[in-house]
Amino acid sequence: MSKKIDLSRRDFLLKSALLSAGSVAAPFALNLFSMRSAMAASGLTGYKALVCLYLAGGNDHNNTVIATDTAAWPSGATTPTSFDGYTAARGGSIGFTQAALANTAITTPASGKEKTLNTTVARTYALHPSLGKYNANVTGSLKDMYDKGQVAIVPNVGTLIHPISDWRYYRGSGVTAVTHPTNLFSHSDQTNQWVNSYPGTTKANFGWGGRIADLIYSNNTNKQFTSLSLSGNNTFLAGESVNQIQINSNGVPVAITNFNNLFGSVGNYTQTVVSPNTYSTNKFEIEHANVVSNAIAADGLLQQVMTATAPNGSTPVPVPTQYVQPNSAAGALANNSLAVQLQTVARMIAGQSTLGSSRQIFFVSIGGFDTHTTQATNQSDLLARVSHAIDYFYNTALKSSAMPGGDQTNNVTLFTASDFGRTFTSNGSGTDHGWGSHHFVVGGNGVTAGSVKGGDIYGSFPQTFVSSSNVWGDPKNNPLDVGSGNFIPQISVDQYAATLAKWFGLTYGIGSELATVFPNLVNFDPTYFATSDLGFMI
Amino acid sequence: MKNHKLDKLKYIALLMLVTLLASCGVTTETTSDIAQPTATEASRILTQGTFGVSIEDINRLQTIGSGAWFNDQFNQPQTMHFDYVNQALSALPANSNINDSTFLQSFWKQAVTGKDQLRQRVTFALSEIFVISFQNATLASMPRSVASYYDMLGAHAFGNFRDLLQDVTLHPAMGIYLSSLGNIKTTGAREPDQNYAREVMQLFTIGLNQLNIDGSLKSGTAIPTYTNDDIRGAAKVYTGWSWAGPDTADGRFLGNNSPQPDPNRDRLPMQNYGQKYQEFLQITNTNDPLEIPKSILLSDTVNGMKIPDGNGPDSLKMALDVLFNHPNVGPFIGRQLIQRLVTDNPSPAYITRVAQAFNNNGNGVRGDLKAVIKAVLLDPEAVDPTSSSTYDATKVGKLREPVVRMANWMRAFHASSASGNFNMTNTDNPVSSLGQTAMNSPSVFNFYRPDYQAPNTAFTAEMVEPEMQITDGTSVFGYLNIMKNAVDRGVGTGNDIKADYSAELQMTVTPDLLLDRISLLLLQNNMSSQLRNNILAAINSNKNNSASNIVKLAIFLTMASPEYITQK
Repeated sequence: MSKKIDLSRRDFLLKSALLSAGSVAAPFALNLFSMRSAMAASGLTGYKALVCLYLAGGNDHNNTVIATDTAAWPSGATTPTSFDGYTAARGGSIGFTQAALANTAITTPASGKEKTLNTTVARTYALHPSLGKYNANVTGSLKDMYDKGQVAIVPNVGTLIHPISDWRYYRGSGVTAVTHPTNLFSHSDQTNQWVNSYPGTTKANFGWGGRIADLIYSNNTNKQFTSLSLSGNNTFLAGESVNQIQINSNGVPVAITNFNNLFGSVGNYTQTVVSPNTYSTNKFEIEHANVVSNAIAADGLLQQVMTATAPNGSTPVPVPTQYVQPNSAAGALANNSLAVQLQTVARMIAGQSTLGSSRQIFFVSIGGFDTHTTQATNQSDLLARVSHAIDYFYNTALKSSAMPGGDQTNNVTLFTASDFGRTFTSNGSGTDHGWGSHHFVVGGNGVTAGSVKGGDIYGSFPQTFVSSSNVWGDPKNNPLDVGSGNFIPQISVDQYAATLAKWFGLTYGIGSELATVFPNLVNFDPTYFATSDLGFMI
Repeated sequence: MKNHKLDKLKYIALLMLVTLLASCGVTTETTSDIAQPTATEASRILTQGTFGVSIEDINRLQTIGSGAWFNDQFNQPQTMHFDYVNQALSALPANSNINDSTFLQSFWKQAVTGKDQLRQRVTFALSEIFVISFQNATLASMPRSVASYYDMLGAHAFGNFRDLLQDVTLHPAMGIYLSSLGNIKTTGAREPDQNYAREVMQLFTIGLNQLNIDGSLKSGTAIPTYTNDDIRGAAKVYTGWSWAGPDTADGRFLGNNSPQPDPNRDRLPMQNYGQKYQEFLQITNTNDPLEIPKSILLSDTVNGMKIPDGNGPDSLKMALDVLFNHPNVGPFIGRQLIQRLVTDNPSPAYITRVAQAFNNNGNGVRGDLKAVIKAVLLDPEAVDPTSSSTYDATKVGKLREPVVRMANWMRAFHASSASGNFNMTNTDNPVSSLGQTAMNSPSVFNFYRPDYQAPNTAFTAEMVEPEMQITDGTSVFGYLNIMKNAVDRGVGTGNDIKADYSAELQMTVTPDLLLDRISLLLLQNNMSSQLRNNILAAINSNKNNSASNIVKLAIFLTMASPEYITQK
């Protein structure tokens, strides 16, 4: 095997499957690939969709979910309380006051996960004001949806290979360092690692969305409508077998028949020229032609589903309203392109029988979260759009008469993802690149329990202050702070993602599909969620 | 038309010379000019080094040879986009909506008609490495500033990389884009903004991992060039810089309207505002055991250094000198210039040759971009990749980016603008347009990453294909749509920009001659027989077709074909 072999990426998958059948211990990745054919999930019932809402640039989680408790921690009299630590780091520039957060205070249930996992002091929390009703004309909000049980919060999630309990294990200070992901704090690397669940191999260009799709596409009549992106090519939906299809909210591409009899010719020579041929050997030419032919193949059904009145008889998916701009004193309205992306997703969900899909994975995104500067206004606007779009998606689009059965909210789970969290420290008017972050999982109709067990926080919420001592055990030392108030995540992306994948229908336990898609999950749960997971899905 | 054997001998001799000299440790010019380029060679050089091939340019390049052609291009006066934008803005009615349109007019005007073609094309490549973007909410209404930034890239395109790095760092448009404008020193719990400190290393100079001169990972593994603590130390270097002006008043630093802002602050290099805002001391709080000193690449014991106490301009100079002299810069920037202009997967030897030219232009000068550009464009792998011992027809080349495809058409067919303004606006819409607009990248990571790998494809594991990142089932049709209209009726607002097919119209009686010409202009003289037969079949499907239709059919089908979309 030392001889360099020229393998295409498709060949690699096939041949690695053969290799690992031998007795030689194959590299980890090869084992992974070899399990595929034996385990493809089929016979799943009902319809389910996962929607990844990507907050591009790295959302400042520290101003998205804020710990507002003020009780002193018992570890030392000088330890700042959570909100004092917050004010010390952020007050006067980008920090909120308690008063500003009063309308978005949230509670957690008495015997829920949050209360079970955060016992040192009683914690209290609030959401960013833009996630609530910041203006009288705001009709729905993420905060309302949390209160109704449609939203779960997963705190301090980030890229990890192994658990890292505190900074000593990150820096190898007096202990053996635990391996952590490479190129932390870098946009491109962390974006990639977040969605491929293989921290440590930044070259891996597959995403866990795509690899879940690889396992479940056999449940769909048309493999090509399993992974759908509203935001261009992305790693999240990159499967080893399933290709993502891109849909643009501006519409679907014009049909190839539009090129019939072009410029006085008789026939469709454009189609001949752009399609795969037998003579090109250059891989760029071959793959470009493949992109075109895949688009041609998908075009007809997409046109049907995208046509306003089509999906379910005669009722179109309602058009989203405009959102109220939080930075406008007059409450001016503006279009929300994220809501339009979700409208298109809703059309695809409404058209599930036309597309022959019983399991679908979507990718939508909104950019601008890299708030190094003018964060206060920028994040306010962005989170208002997020809140408005999610409320529209669940409480209007998925409950509209365009939907099969008139309500798909229990079948569709939306979750947030982002490059990373941001520094707890302020740089004046913004924040810098961080690591762990807080995320939202959304689902259900807000009336009866259906999919997401909302209204709770599913993890240990970090004590929010920046270290002013590097002495372990000193009350002024934050065990999770690796510098600038970047807190070590205590929940891995794999745990977060695998909990979603388990709901979606993948098998769990040792040797299961979860183990295939999330190999590092074993470092957090040796049973691969055989008995429990993060608990936010029913 | 072309003598492969002779070409190959010529290149082998050149390669041997380079190898011999390199092995002896002798420094010398590593790029040889081509005295009498073939039409194919001329077409290739012009495809890679300009916004497109014209018959006139092929003839000229063949006549004068590459040495004179490059010298001529190096000496062409730069046409300033700033002047166009400034003029156009002053002609607008008061309270007009100021956006990117005037810059885009100038961009297309120069792409098509500029005599400084090499500079314009290399500038476009540099703009995809040193990225700023109209998508930034502030820059969206600052076309003067973006034009000036683009001109600055152009001015240094034939200068030295160290000067380029300095002016990129201090241009107010970059200051806005990566938030170094107004960045303030450590104050209490507040730390300086890390944005520019990080991206100048990750994207503009050294990259994430230590490299060999051939672009491969040092020791075959990813050894990081810096840590996050290094970023915190370096962030202090980029403090205290803000708007230019006649004084350093607080209000000017903060961007207030008082004192009166300098009318040219959007294009003058940022100035340093001294100790009030700039991190003057290496350590500001000696009682803080967690403070990282002002430094550059602190964890790197070979290249890095603490920056001594002192003023902002001195600190900046020291830090940028360290980055400029880091051994990664040649292969890191060289590889990306090759990717933007020539091919996505250059051989290690090609990267080495370009990096060597960066490290030493033959006269002991590091960072001479003229030498780098010639090394990129006159390399055997650029002029005749088949001559390379590592040539692989299945892997050579790159996808032409959509903006360049459109520009190629305009130049090949002498497009002109009815208004004279080249009224092109944003071309981002992937359903109906190009899915790409100059200076409108979604982030500092450009339209695509240089190491992007399209998943689940025939590309092999070691290949990268950056332009595939913006190629999808929507964009491929958007391109066909806009190209069909352009070829037929023109492009831009009211089809302002139209081609002149008068030469091609003379050839329709002999379609093979027409296709020979199109092949030379658009396909580096390398149209496949199959594509030729397909186009001939289309032409022959209607014996009564008009000459105009025949020309349009031939051009459109060529430009729709994967062998045009792939520059190889």
